[in-house]
Amino acid sequence: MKIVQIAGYLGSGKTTLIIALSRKVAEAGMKVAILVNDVGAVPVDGKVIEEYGLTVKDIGGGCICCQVAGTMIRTLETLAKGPKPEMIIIEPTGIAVPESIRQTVMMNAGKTGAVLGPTIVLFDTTRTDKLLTYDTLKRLVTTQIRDADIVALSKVDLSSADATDHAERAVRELNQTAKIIRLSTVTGEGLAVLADQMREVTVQA
Amino acid sequence: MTEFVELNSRNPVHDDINSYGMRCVVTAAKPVSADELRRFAAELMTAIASACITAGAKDVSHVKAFIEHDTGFLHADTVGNPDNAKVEGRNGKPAESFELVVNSVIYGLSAHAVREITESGINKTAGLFGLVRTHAEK
Repeated sequence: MKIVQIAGYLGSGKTTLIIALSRKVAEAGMKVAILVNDVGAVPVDGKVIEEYGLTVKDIGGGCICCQVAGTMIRTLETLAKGPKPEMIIIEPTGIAVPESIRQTVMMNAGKTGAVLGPTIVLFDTTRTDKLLTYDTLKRLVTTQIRDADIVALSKVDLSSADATDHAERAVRELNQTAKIIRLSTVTGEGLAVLADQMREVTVQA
Repeated sequence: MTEFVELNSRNPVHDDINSYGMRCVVTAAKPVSADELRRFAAELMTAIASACITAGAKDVSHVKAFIEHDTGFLHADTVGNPDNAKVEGRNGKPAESFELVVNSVIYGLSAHAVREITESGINKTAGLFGLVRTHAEK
């Protein structure tokens, strides 16, 4: 059971991407489940993903990177014992710290039988300066980017070439080793590459 | 059912980001068309996001909602700019009542302010469309 985390700040396009990627991965013959953590206990994202015919487990009541990490592990255990998906895609809240989730998953790999796929972090190219300006926001978004194995520069269809280049330079400054993929769920740019990475890449703890 | 989650109690990266989520049932005197529901959803997103900015929010991080009734499902959201509200989903037949779930996550406003603005935005926008919130749980 491979765990792939698709993180990124609020509104970066995680839910839309997960719907698109899950279909691609499922089309390739893999059984996929999605674990969604919404901010607040009235979930929206899980319901939207379910609407597209995908298998979803919702976790509410706080952030899985800190407040409800235990619930995440129990949910992974339940999935491992029950539906036994080959891949679980975790959509954390937009304010989650990806490394905290990765560590929690790996510390409990004995219980869940999980292997770790790549941590994909979305970065909204239409909001580069905003996201990297304010203190708290900058600290959070910077942390998310640094924790990524892959950074997907999202909404490139809405950004000029210059704005996308600017976003890529900003991301590269923060994370010198991550693979950077330009992504649009509208045009499909980058989707096939990301789906391949999810299937093929395994990360050592 | 309304939910109020304290996000910044344990993790410093959550500082100054607050959320409010609520679920209710909305009714209309006569069936509301899918087009009208889409307009309602978009205007609701814009109303909440605009009010957050007016109140001093540093960023409208994500305001999102879904509307569900017997034959339709619409989801709406806005990020950053209040005028960028997006509505997608299945239209369905005109509906006399529907479930509405709204989730606002805002950077730079207190939890209390996010709650008040979200509630006020729902009530005002519903009023503009001749809709009434009936009870908290479907």
